[in-house]
Amino acid sequence: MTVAYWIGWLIVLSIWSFLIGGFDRKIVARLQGRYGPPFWQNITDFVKLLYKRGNLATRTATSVVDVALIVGLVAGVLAVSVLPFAGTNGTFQVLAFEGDLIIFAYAFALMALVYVVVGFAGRSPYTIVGASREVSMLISYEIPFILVLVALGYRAALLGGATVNSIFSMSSLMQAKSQVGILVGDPIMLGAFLILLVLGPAMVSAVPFDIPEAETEIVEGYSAELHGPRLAVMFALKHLKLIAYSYFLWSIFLSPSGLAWWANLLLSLLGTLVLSVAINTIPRAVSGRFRIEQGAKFYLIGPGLASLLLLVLVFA
Amino acid sequence: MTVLKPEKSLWIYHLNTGSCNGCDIEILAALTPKYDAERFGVKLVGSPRHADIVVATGPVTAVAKESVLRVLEQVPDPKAIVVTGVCGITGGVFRGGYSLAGPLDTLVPVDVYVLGCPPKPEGIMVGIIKAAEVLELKRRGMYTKEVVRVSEKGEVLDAVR
Amino acid sequence: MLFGEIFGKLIDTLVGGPVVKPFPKEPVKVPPKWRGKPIYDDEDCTGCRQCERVCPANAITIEDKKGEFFSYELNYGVCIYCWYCIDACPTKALTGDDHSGLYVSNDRTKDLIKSGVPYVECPVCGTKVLRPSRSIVIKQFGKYDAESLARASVCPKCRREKSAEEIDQAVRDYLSANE
Repeated sequence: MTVAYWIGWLIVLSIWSFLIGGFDRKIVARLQGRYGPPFWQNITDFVKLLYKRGNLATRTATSVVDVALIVGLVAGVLAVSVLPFAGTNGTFQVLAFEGDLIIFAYAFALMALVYVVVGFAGRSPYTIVGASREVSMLISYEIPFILVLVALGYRAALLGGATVNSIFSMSSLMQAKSQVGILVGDPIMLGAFLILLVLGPAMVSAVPFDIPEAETEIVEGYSAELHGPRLAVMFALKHLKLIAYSYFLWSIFLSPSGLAWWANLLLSLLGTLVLSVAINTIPRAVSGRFRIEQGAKFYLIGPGLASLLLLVLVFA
Repeated sequence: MTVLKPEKSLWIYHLNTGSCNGCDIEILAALTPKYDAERFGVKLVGSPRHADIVVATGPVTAVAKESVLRVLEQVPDPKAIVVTGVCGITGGVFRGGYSLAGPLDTLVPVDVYVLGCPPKPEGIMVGIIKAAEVLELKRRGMYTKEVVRVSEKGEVLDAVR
Repeated sequence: MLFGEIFGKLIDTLVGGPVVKPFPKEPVKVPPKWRGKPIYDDEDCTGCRQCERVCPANAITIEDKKGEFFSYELNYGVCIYCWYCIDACPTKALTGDDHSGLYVSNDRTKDLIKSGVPYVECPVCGTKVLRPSRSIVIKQFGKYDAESLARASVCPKCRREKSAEEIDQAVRDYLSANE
């Protein structure tokens, strides 16, 4: 029963992630004064990519790419699975244990590493440049991300009255939420939420920080040599990353507790849409792409220092 | 179901084989808000391996010939080739020049021709939509196209399948 | 502030609605002096070959087989739509198509006009002359029918050497013989 529910939830989330990508294109088109593609366009793109057949580049290490893509899919499913979703009584977690917040952070790092591996396995100048840029972006945004998660978990343990050894578990966060109501009401949590929101574009490689896959300068970066079903998996992975991150932000910080399961489900779909518009669409509409050193400097100086400050405030 | 129809998603790759940039600007114009080709699912991609439709401009110069053939080989099937502008169709004002390796359809099968010097953006959009029909026929295996060798005066010399 | 300006523009476009031309639903609107395909009308052509001379792209190929056929070919796969030929044409045999800009085809060997002007007999002496242009016939005789065409196609040599009565008689004979 649980497994069936989980699989159904995964299917709903993945279709919703494609629809969110379509809404993103539609909204950007409207902001630019165009009609834009229909909102199901990304599903059509995905299906189309499954139909394409061709020869892979001879220098590409095909088996490495395949293994990396499977690992990436597993990591994406893992990232979604550790998050609490709408169950019959409140929220429900498939993979629940002490330290699942770490698993979530690890899954995100793993997805970025999959991009790196695919890029280096491509053995084309474009893919290698994309992979090395992804590494530098990973270093610059992963440090604030981990620091914020530490601050977040510690604050949640303090609020919910849990023991210190459970600071990296979702259940302590949920416990804290049941006491506070909505988690962003707490000032430390609000700070953590804002930092995570700023980290968002880099986590999901949205436009100001899509430096690794700059399609105009290094033709889609790490995926330049892929096509057909492999490219479709990359395409799905990008959407999975976007929905996992925005669903993480929604379910931890913004979702209200104590609703009927269908209201919770609808609200979480709506909330992921709003958050993905905030971290993906609006930056894409209003800004161009940064250079790699600008991006790295931005994340190390802005959210990096802010997360350090937050950590000091939490432990003080 | 139009949602699951592959021909509703057209990723185009813009291939310049030695053009004067006139047609390239018009292709770009077809993607701007004024014309908005993205309504039909058109997206400009940077890598030929992601493309469904190759929009080629320019007469194929002798230097560009090898690269052009390599790029067209990298496009996965089913693919369609649209030639934009009269230079790509017959050589245009460069016909018979010593530095040309012939117009594109003497090298590979070309599916749609968009006439004009340069064509209007609407013409390029119509050409891309026609190429989508070609793609659908190709997916069902109902489409054949010959490479037609045409002399400088427009006479058909021979047809190589 | 930088971002304020950007957001202001975005909200302007959001409120104002899309600026997209309604192209596939409505036909293309072209500017008044927009240059489209030149269209060739063989009845108006005098065979002066001015269009061939001025064409910068050599899109016009003329083969004049004296006494048989004046073949005319305009290849749209070469034409650059500059309208030099239309400006040079003295009798408006070449006119512009201003209505659509959508020239898309699947077969380039059919993107051309193959036409020509036939040679007709001089009603007086029987030598072959190029069929006279319609606009010149109308300018001279006010109408375009078999009689005026026959009168206009009298060869220059006969006009120089024969008297008016002889030519008139010959044309009348020619017309009655052809009826």
